[in-house]
Amino acid sequence: MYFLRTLLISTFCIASISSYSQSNTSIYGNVSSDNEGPLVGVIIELKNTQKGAQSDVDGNYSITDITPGSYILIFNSFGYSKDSIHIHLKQGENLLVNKKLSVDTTSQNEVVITAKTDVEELKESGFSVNSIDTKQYANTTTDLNQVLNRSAGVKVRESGGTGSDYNFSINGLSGKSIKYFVDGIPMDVMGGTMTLNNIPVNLAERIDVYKGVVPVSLGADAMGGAVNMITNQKIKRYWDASYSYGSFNTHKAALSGQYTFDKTGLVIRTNMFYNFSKNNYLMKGVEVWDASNQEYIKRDFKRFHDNYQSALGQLELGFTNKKWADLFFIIGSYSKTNQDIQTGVRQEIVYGGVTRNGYAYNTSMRWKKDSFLLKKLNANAFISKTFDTYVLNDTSSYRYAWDGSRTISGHAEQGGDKALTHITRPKIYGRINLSYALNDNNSFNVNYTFDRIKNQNYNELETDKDYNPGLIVKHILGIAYQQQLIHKKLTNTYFGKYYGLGTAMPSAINTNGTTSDVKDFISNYGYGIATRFKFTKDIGIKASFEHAYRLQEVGELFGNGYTTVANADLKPEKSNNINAGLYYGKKIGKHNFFIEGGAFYRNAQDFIYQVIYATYINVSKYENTSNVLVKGLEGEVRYNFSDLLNFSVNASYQNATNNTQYVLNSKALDATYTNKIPNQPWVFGNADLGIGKNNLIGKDSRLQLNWNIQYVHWYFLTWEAYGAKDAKNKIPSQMIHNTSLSYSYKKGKYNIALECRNITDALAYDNFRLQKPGRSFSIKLRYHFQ
Amino acid sequence: MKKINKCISFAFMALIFTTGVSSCKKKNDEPTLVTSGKYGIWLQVGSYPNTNPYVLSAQSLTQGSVSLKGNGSEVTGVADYGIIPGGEYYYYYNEPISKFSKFKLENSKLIVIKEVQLTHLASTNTFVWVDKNTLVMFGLNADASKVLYSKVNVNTLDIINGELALDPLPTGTSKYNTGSAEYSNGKFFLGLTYAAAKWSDPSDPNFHVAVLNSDFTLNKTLSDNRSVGAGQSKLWMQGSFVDESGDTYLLTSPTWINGGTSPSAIYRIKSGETEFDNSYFFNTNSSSIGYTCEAMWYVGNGIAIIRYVNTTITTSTHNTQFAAINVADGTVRKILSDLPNDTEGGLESIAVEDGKAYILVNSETGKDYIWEYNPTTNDVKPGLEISGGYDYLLRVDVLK
Repeated sequence: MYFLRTLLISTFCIASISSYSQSNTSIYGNVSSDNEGPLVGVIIELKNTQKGAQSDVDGNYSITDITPGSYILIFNSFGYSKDSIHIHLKQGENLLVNKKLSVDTTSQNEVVITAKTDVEELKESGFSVNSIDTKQYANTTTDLNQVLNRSAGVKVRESGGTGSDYNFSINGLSGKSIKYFVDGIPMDVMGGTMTLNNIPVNLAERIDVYKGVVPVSLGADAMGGAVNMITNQKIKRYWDASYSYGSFNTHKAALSGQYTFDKTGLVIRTNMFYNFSKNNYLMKGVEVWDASNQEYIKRDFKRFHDNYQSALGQLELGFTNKKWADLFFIIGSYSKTNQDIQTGVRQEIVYGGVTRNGYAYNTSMRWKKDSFLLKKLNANAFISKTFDTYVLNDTSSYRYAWDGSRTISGHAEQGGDKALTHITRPKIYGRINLSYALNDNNSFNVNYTFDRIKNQNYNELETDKDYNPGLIVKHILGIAYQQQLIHKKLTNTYFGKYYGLGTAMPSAINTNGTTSDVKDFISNYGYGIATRFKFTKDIGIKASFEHAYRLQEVGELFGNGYTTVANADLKPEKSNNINAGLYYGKKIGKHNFFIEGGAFYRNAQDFIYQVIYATYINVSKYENTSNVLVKGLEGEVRYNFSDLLNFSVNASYQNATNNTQYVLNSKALDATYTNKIPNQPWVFGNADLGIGKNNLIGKDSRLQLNWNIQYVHWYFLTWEAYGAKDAKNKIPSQMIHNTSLSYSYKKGKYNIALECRNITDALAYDNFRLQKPGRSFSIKLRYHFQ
Repeated sequence: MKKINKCISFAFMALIFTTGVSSCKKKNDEPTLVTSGKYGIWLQVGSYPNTNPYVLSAQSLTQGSVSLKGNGSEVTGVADYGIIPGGEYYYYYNEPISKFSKFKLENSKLIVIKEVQLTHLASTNTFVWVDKNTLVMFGLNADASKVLYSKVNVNTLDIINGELALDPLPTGTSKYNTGSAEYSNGKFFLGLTYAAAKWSDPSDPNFHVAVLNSDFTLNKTLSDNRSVGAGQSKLWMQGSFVDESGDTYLLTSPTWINGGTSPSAIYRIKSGETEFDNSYFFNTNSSSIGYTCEAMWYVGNGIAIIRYVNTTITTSTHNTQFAAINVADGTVRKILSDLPNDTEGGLESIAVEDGKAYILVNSETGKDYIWEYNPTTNDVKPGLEISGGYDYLLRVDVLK
């Protein structure tokens, strides 16, 4: 803690005592289109700086307080070709730059792949990152999980249909070691409803998936990687509204928009979505008890207890381009989820009464200021308070079967006692990020996050509140230094991370049954490097490394004061992650080609799992049970011909082996040491093909056909080496085809799309004998205005 | 479409292999060696959370070796170690899916003979054979406030369910725990604990035995305060038996109960009686064993083997040892110190056949064997080798 405080105070002191100088050097001008006059809302960006502006209703803009030097000025607006100009600014100069932009027909369409998009620039950074431009999916009914599941190295394993539980894996690491963000802020700040499986694709502009090595700006103990959803931050007026209806009575609606009052600079922004599905897809060949013939038989039945609905409303009010803030927003959100649970971990375990219903509300504040105190110091801060709660209702006294029949069992469906479990996690979160550009080639970034969560769980049928709540406070500080060498061909980012973990519980239970009031503070240090070398503007290699952590949770350290005993010796999960890769992109005329490939290595240790010690009294303890070594390869190839054709294919191979040499708490060698970890996909790939044509049916229209294939190679449920081969359970190879046909007119203002998923109605499993939906159809209507 | 899918699968695989996978060493397939025989051996393999249960057959417990390489069946979701052997068959109550199954272990595979629905028991941990055709399982309702039973005709799998009318729970306790279960001379002897809602809160400090008539009505409840607990959960491992003369012996296993400070002890109920034999109380902690015992198997001819945790071994989980006892006079016959220390967490690790005990021992560093204990010579010698160094070796059964 002392280290943390000293560093923070020092950072602010340096900022405060430094002289604050103003430069009169500036750029101003007007942006217009070839034939439509002044353009409003054009983003004008001074490349490699935090400086920028937006054109007003008359197309005028200005950027002030610029350090003299050479720059590239970029003009960017949806619907117009991105353009740039090289400029040189002298001390005190007030440079006039007017620009005419031409209409870009491709940007109105579904698939946008330009020479060097933000996505491709990120891919050319030292980090191993998938950056997915989600605009291409805007007319589809897909959610973010489905989008990410198509990218290299990522595998999302869902337990059912819309809204079902899922496990997200990046290069073989999954679960709690993966963290999720929206614009750099943890997704759970908005409450438990905000998850990748229900956020409509329209709300995202782009999604970045960092694999194993995570920049300090995403302040979290993301041992396996991080997903950062980027929303539309371009300051302009727009509305995007969509509604879709599909099989299994699935409705999805989304609305996002923004309005800026030019005179006052006041900005109103909103994001809303609503999802509903009955998820009553057909379960094929499931077993039921035939009471009349006194035997088990296999039949097809529709799911009958799997309704899912989620909704989120978010309102942001704020100002931009004020003297005291480039951006200042007050944000409020409310979200709600109602979910029926249909099965346990296997489809034989059928539930008919279990539900999970929750809601969350959040207030937060976001502030950003470039040239804060120091000319080259950019600052942004975020603070928020969240109330997040859900109730797990397992009070049925029945045992259900797939035919919907039920018999009185006298006990809860999930086993044991009936429970109305309240899980409440109030959260306070804060983040400060400072970036300082020493010069063109050297920059620093400091990021500090504070995350305080109280864990309150209780069964309403037994007590009225949690008398033993656990408290967890995380302080995560990251410092990065980025340098550019050899005419910016070589970029190195060095970083260090401090993880401070404070935990407390009033009454933790020990193995001998005694209880004690416990508090602890644990410090850990991580570090890493990301580097990239560009041979030419088209080809480069990159490599990255991080010694990363996944911190203990309070329940893992101190148990629940009831059935899970404390383990003060529990260590955090840690991993040494290495990535190496290369990329090559080439544009020849209308042909655009990009290929990238990489290798990865994860040496993860001390995985934390619950170990049951005494079955009959259900006493358990969290222990550092196992180590895993993952080595893998992945590659992606993309090609597009103008706006007519695009094609991409990626494939991933990962060999995860058990690296646990000894049996838990023993000197005995673990027989499965070096064996392949079971029940994990190890070869998978995706292919996408898109064909589209502008103005085929009317002026300013586009007709687009997309085809997507997802392939997962079969894998064993249990250890490969053990058991007779003919008796081994497998999760079979799967090939799922999806397609969509969309029609847009008035330059993408009105859109209609038809979609079919799992065209061949193949049996789809992500988990052993846990069927996913078969063939489904949907229609989506979308209106986009700006 | 299938053809297209095949082509695409091939394309994906080709892409993978061209990126370098093909350079990986190709492993030779292990020869498949499927074992058969009348003995069932259950193992758990792997590190958390990837721990999987397997079962395999063995022809002999005294010689040869068995391995899981290419042999044995994974039984995840089908059955687990809490299984009831009876004659040639296994009986298993799959509580999460309310299914009661009768299996035959053939060539290391569990073959389903018959399955019926059973929703009566929220949980079960003990059973007793009334005769070779009649199995009684005792269990609890959801909040453990009632003790239930299911009486099974194992030939037809017809089941009669009921509830025991036991003495009410004493003040301060809210749950029953069941343990040892035996049947002798038309009476059931069922070990009971009256427990607090939380395991860490004090339970009733007595060992109780419900004496039930053959129609499951309560005859009386026996209580003694020299030890606590309900005895061992017979579904997982044995802690009671009826000897050749009809005397019933019941071992208490107080681990985890009231701080685990109470000694373990063996009680006796003489044949035809419905009271503890007051002349008999075998406190294992004060005997030359010196530790709390967790399980007991009757070998025959007045000899039993008990398993206990040597609590002076704190640096390893291989802390479990065995001793032979003379049950009739409650004396220690021999500490079986020639056996390597077993790992804690072992379950039904002894099978008895032809007057000899076969002890499955999971050694820490050496080879793993099923050891034969010969009560005549009082010696142990290694028999069938469990080759592969697995953790954990959990149970061995004779199926005949």
